[in-house]
Amino acid sequence: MMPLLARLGLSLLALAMGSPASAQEPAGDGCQAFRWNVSAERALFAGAGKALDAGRDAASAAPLLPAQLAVVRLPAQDTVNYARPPAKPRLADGAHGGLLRFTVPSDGEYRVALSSAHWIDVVDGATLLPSLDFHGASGCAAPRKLVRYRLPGGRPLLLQFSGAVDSTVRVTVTPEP
Amino acid sequence: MSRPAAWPLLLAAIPLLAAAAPTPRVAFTGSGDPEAALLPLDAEARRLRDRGLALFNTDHVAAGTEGAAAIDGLGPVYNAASCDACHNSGHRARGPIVDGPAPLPLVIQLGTASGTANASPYGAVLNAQALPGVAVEGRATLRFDHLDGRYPDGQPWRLRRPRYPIDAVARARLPAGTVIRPRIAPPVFGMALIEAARLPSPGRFGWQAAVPSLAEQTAIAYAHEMGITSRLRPQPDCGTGDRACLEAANGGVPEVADRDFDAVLALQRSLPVPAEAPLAADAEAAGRALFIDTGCSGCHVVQLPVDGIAGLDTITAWSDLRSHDLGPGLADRDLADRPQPTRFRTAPLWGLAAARAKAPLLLLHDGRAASVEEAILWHGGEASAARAAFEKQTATARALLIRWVEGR
Repeated sequence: MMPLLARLGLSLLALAMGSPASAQEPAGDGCQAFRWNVSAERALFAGAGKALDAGRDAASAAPLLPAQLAVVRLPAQDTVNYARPPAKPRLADGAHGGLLRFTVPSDGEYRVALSSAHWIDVVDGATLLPSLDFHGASGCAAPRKLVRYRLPGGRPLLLQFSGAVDSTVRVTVTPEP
Repeated sequence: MSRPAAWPLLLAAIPLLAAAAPTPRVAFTGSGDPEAALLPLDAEARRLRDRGLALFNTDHVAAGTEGAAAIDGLGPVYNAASCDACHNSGHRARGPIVDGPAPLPLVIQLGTASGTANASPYGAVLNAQALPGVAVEGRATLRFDHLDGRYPDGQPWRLRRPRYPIDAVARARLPAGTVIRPRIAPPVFGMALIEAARLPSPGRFGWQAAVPSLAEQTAIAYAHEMGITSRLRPQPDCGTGDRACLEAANGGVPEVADRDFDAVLALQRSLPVPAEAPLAADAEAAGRALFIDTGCSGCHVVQLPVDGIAGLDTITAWSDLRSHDLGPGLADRDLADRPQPTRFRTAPLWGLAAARAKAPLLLLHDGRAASVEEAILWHGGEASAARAAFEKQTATARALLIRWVEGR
């Protein structure tokens, strides 16, 4: 599995070197506030991204590819049936949510980065995986927040979005640098 | 303790609470724990608490956002969009606090040396975020330098000393007499016990014990940090002459409905105090004795009387909930960096064991102290004698006292 990870890392490095991180970012210093190294995410978020429609349940969850930016349209949250209840309850008033599915190549630590303030959960079978840490920059949308997980490789996982009004979210899954 | 076991144990403990009974504690992990409640809740109380929890966690949005009437009215200037963004699942703010832009949970209050109402162009808080199209009020930057010293036994210590230069204020300059009052978000558990404390004066909430009730403290936070009005604060924290703020669309009058305001109060009142992490019996007793002998317990008192909670006569918050002068080192400073007389509430030490599990620690009013030792060494003023008594201890005794405090 290591070669896969190594290729992933190299492709991210290439993206980071080849794309000015601020190419699509409005003026302002909000994205300079990160204490984590977010160069890989910043490079991916500078791209166009692949359009996806989030599912309303586990069966309809759209596939998200690691190390690629997805631009995800979310349905109204009150039409979504989550595989597991979100770990942090929020009001659904005006909120949009949904589900994606993804697989990482090997066991390890990964980050989910997103452009909105949605609460996210990663579901492995019937289990909500605990996050290891999170970080964010509220004045930045590329990305706005990052959540770090230890993920099992080689099997499908669900990524659930809940609790924010944004109807579109940009999202990436990348290995922890 | 596993989570399912906590609730039955707490229920079992309620009838046993007597005059000298300890503060009820459970293995509280966070505000989202469905089983964690300070006192038993009936079905209606649980519904209200759950509504409060969802409100506490939810990002509020701009006035008029479609389908979001319960949570609209954010800003137009604010620091955070939700309570949870700073109060971290009911716990104190997350760290670290380091050089650079002031982090979101560190609120920059604007005061005056006399303590009179602030007439700054930015109101009582310098809000660092704003809705699209509205200018943020300004930002503070943290700059740390170091204070070095030695204990009487020669062992060195080092403290981080923060400064808060204000850069990029949006409109008018701050008046010359402005006092910068940085305040980190505190935990919000144990509120029902603090409300019930029998004190000589009504003030008990906030870093300076200036606020008499949880409702008033919550209303202030909504108004100052989120720009959201409530029945107790019908106006957001707009600065003098800030027309964009004063004339901004509102999300209702008030913006947080009374029932929802009550729900957020119910949540806070339900949150129990995290369990202590006592040392081995001998060390626990010796640490407690040191805490008392050095005079720490003069303000971080062992017991406080409470009223109105069946079966409970005292609590152990490790605080007298009163304000004290802690000297110029901790005092707020004006724009010319001159310390101004400042009184701080004795910080409750309960919950420190849980906070340590979420390191790094952020102690004192602005999170400058990353350890119990640093926090002790910042004490001055009325606490000078206790600090000196701590310093005179042997290194072994100091370490024991620190470990004991860390376990509260």
